[in-house]
Amino acid sequence: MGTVRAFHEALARGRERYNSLFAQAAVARPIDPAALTHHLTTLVAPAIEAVHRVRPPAVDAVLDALFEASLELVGRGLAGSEGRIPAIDAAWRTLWVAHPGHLAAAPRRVITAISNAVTHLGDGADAWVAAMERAGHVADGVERWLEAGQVLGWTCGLAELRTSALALCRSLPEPLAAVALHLPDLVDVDAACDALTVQPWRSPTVAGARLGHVGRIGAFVGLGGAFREPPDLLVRGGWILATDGHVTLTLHADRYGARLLPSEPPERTATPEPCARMTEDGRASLGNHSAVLPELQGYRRAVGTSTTLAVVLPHSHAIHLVGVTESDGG
Amino acid sequence: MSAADRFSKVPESPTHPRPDSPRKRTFDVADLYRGPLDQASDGARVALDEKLRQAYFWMVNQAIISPYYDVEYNDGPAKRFTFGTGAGLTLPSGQSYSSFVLLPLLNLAVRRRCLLVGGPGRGKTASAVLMGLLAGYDISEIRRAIQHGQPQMTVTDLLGNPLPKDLVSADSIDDIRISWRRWLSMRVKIIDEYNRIPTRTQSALLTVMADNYAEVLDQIYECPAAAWYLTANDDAGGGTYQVIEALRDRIDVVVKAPHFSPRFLGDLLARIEAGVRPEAVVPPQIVFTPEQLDQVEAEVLDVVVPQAVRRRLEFFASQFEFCDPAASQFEYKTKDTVKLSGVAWHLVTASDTGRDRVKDIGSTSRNGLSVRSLMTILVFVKAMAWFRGQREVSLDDLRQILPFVLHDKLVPDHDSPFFDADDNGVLRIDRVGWIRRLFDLSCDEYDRLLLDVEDPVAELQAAFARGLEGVSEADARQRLVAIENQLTEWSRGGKLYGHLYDDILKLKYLHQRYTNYLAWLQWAQ
Repeated sequence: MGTVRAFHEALARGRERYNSLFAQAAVARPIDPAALTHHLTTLVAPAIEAVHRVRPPAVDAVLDALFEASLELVGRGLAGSEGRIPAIDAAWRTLWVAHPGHLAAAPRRVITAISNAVTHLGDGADAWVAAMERAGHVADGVERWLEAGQVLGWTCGLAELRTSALALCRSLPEPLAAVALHLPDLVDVDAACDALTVQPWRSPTVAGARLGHVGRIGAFVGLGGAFREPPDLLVRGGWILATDGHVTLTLHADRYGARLLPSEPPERTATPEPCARMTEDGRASLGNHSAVLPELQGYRRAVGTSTTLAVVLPHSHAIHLVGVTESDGG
Repeated sequence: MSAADRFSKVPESPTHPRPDSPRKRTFDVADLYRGPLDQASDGARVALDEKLRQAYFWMVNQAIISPYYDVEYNDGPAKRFTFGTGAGLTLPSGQSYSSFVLLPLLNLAVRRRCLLVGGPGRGKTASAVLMGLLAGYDISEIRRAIQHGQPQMTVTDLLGNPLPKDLVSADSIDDIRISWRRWLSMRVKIIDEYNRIPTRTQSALLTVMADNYAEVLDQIYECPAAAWYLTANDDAGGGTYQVIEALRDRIDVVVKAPHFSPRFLGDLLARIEAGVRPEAVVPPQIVFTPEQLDQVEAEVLDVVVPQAVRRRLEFFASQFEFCDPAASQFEYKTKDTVKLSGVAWHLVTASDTGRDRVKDIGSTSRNGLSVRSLMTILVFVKAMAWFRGQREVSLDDLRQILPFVLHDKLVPDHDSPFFDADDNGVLRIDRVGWIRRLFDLSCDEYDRLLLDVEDPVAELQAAFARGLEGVSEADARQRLVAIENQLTEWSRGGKLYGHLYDDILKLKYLHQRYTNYLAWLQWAQ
């Protein structure tokens, strides 16, 4: 580790305050001083040094914000070497040093936003942090950076954010939208968003389209999934729902990922879109596209919207997704 | 909320959620940034009323152990319990507040003068210090600037000393420079135990409080606008030295420091053992810059006082000044006339017969409301409404604020039969309860008289307010007749009460204005 003089000096300036903060935080929840120290020296100190290089007057404010957040996250066992969410440490390690200017511009807002974001992203957190690092070089300010982060939340796995993320993405400048949508060849943001709206499985920057098996989601509850029984499928209000009689989940899915999230039990069963069909021999039809998907022969139930066909097989807890894509899919 | 979150955590917005801000029911990218860390701000985007509410909740949750909700608001029916021989307890159904924390904050917002009273060791000075911290000063700066009242305090101790070199070498008094005390330049001024300041020094303090400047040897120091916090162990104006009336009158609100509830001893113990010092960990997000405090005051003054609320305040205020036996000249029939005459009060009230002195709330006080106190009421009710996120003052705001503004301004007449009736005896002691009861009774009377619907003075006033431009001689005479007819009707009525007294004077005013106008019209012809 390089010199951390700015960090030590800032700590010394705020010594009484930081000691008081630690004392108060430790009143009801034991905080391992060693764990906190390790967190501060490995993650906060480099951040402070980075801030000191680009914006020395902001050092105290940044340290204040990082210290309070460290107390909270380490104290609750979320961050630190024994923390339950390693992605928080990863985000701190990568992003504060990579973008000290953004951190210094709005320390509390940035620290809160990024720390909270990685707690939602699960397996997508690492990809999100990497993309945020790229985005930070392209964004012309904190607000744009954080907006890109919200779009990246969708494209790194939180499929339920799709609608609001697409709306937000339209306001991003092209270079930033390209990072947020993982589309390096992007030239027209509005056109790309329009395309992703009507064909959520297909890259808007690649020519060609065909119907294919684009994903699979759902599993037995004993294997970490959500279903006790093989689920049934229905459509309501333009959404595909899956229910095993115990839970009812709404499907959110597109080229960036798929999620099943709780929803209220359906009041009635709606009929599937007439343009979405499946036959016994595995022929799938969606709009003007059709394809034979042998792996889906003998399906148990198939329902569809204008963009996605969902299929379940006998004795299986998985939901197979069929959509118009530019690649092999599945 | 765990104790670990307690001391540096800024309450999450919104601190005053209302039905017009419903919880989200759809997935939104904004949800991505919500999580275990509270929504944080770097101070730039939070609305100032929200910021002040955050400061309030940080104080009550983390800084001051004040688990009381004596400023009660209800959003619907509130449960009420009675204990023992009549001790009532209300469980408010709306967001309610502790006056000991709320009033100093409102005082910070409108930069007036707040007196904190209560026994020793109840947090009066600590509360004032927190106000200084919220205004952006650091703890050492504030502590050094507190003026501690003591019997040997001189004017120069308080304000500053002439430079010795100048004293020796100056040819005239104008050449003597003063080393002004630092506290004079601060936007939060704290006077601890102000009733221990000698009388002569109190006069110097009065100049600073009233006129915002300090004077020593003809040298003037203009002070910036500031929020004042004075402390005293009692509010009766006594102490080591009697507080001069003019200084007492400059106090805008009086707040009692409540007792410490022993059921919270555990919290106190935790602080002692951990060495907790809330004043060392004030969250930066709730610290106001000078510009923000300026903006706060401007926003407060923009809050509207609706006419319906203003009328009830007018009606309430008009109850107190009138004293029929005080004079033969109608305009002088006031309690102030009695006070200035030096005649014993009980002799005057004994001759005030005919009115129902139990029902007449004006009989409960020895004085009326001054212009200064009315202005203070208006400013503080605006501040109360603004603090609650409203852009108009409500009747509830008025009801809650009145007792704290009038606490030392409205002097009770303990011999009034009002206090002997029903359960009113306790109101001799409970000044806040007394003033609130008076306001409730005033509102009941206002409703009984249907003044929202039938207010002849308001109609005549409205006609006058439209201006005299284009009003013909015939119209003016017609209006004069209307005024005289109304006065004739009232003169046939029963007893004369305070509100009628002021209405009569208002009609006399209007009559005089029209009379002068007629004279001018005739001269112009």
